[in-house]
Amino acid sequence: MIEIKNLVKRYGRHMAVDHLNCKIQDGQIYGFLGPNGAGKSTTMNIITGYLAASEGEVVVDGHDILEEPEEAKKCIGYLPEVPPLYMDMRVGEYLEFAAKLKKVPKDKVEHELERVSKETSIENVQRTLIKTLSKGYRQRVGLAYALLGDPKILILDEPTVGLDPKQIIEIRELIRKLGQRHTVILSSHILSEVSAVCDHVLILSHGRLVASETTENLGKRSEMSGKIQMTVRASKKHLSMIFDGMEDVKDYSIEPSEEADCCDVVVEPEGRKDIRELLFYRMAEEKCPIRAMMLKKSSLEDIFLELTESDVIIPEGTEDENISEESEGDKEEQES
Amino acid sequence: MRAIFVRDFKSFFHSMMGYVFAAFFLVVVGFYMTAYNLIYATSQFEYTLNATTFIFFILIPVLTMRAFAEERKAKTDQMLLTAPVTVTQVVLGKFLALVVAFMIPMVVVAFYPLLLTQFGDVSLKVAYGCFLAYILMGIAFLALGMFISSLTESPIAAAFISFGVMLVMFLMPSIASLIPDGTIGDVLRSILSWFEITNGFDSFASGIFDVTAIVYYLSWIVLFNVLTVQSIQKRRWC
Repeated sequence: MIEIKNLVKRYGRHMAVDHLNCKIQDGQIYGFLGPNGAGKSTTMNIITGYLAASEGEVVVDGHDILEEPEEAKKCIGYLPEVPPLYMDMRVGEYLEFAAKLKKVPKDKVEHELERVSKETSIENVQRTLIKTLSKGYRQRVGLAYALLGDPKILILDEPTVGLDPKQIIEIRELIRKLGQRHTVILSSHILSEVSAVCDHVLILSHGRLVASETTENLGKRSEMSGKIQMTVRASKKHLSMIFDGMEDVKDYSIEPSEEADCCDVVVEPEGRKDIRELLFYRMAEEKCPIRAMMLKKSSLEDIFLELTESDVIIPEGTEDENISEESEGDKEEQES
Repeated sequence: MRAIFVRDFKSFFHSMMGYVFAAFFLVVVGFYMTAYNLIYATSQFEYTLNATTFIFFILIPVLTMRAFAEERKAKTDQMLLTAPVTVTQVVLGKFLALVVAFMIPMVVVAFYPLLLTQFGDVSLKVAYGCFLAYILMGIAFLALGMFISSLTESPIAAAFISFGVMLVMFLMPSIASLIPDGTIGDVLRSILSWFEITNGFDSFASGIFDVTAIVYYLSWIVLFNVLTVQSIQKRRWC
C-alpha cells in the first residue's frame, strides 16, 4: 500500500505537484491520467525516491521514502518514462547487473532472470546489445528490469508511448496479467488506455488530484448527464416553437439531420429529469414522428476535458500563475 | 556497491576509454623514461615521474568525464538512485572503478625502477616513495574529476571543465607568484597555496617523505567524494 499525504513539489515558483493526497490499495491497477505537464512523472519520481518532495510524505508499505529509503525502494519496481538502459551492455548482462543492484540473493539471480525474461518474452535477445534493440524491445527490457526481485508494487511511467499498435496491445495484456500478482500504477495521457487496463483512475491536472474513481464509476458518470438525443421529422421552426413552450426543457439544440425532412435534436432537461415519455406524447400531439430517441452519453473524453479544464478546481489567488502554466508545465517535463 | 563497481569497470573496457587511457599513459611515461633513464642514464626514476605529471590533467578528465554526466544524459541515474542502495554506495562504487582502471597502467610502471636496477644503483626508497605520491595525486585528481562530472549532464563539458580546473591547479605556483606583496596579497597567496596540488609531490620528487602531503591528498580524495554525494543529493531536492 502506498500513502501519499499532502505532497508538494516546487520548481521555483511553479508547483509541479500541489498538495496531493491519495491511497493506493494493494492488488489493483491504478492509472494516473492527465495532460502533459500535469505532474504524473514528478509524482512517480517522488514515490520511487528519485526526487525528494518539497513538502508532505510518501509511505510505501509502512516505510517512509525519506526515512527508510532502502526498505521502501525494495518494494517498488520502476519503469521510468525513458527506460534506464545502458546502451553498451547486452540484455542478459544488463539484467544480471540490475538483479545484483536490486539485491536479489545470489542463488536466485539465474532463476529470476529466466522468469522475467519469459514474462516479457525477451528470451531470444539475451545476447543482443541494447543499443541495437528496437523501441518495443527496449521497453520490454525496461519492464523486465522493473519486475526483477518480484516487487510488490510496479510503477510504470507511460509504458506504451512510442510503441506500434500490436506492441501496445501486447504490453497492455502483460500489464493486466501483472495486475493479478502486483499492485500496478501506470501513467498515461491516453484515456482509452487507462480505462482499458486500470481498475481505478486518478486524474491529475496542474499537479492537483481532480478525480479519483473506479473505472466503472467513471463509465456510469458518463450516463448521468441526462441529455436526450432525438431524430424527429419536423421543421426546425416548428420544433423550436414546441421546446420553447415546454417547462421541463432547460436547453436544446436543433440541427438538420441526414434523413430527409428530419432534424437532430439534443434536449437538456431541467434538473436531470427523465422527460423521454413527456417528449413522446408532446411530439405525438404535434404530429411530429420521433424516428429515434436515446439518452446521450458523454464520452470519457468529455469527462476528462471537463475535469482537467474546469475552473472550479483552481483555488483563489493562483489565477495569475495560471497564465504561464502551459510553458512552465513543459519546463517541468524536461526537468523531471 | 560491488555491482556498480563491476559494471563501471567493465564499461571502461567496453568503450575505448580504458584502453586509450592506459596506452597513452604508458607511451608518455615510456618516452620520458627512455629519454631520462635510458639515454641520459640517470638512475633517478623520480625525474621521469616529475616530468610526466602533466599527463594527469590531460588524461584524467577523459577517464572521469562520463562517471555521472553520462548516467544523467542516458537517464540511467534513475536506475541507480531508485535501487535499494545509498548514494554513498553509488559514489564509492563508481570511484573505486575509476581508481582500479587508473591503477592498471600504474602496475606496469611499477616495474620500471626494478628494471633500472639491472643497469646500476637505484634508490628504490626514493623511487617508490615518489611513485606513491604520484599515484595519490592521480587519485586526488580522479575524485575532483568525478565531482565535476556530477555537476553537469554533458560528458564533454565535464571533460573541459575538469581540464581547465586541473590546469589552473597545476599552474597555481606560477599564478600565486604573480600576486604583489602586501597584507592582502600574502593572505591571497596563502589561500591559493591550498590548491597547489603538485607541492606535496615535489617534496617526494626531491627525496623527502612528506607525511603532510599524504594527508593532503587523502583529504582531497575524501572531500571530493563527500562533495559528489552532496551534489547528487542536492539535485533531488531542487
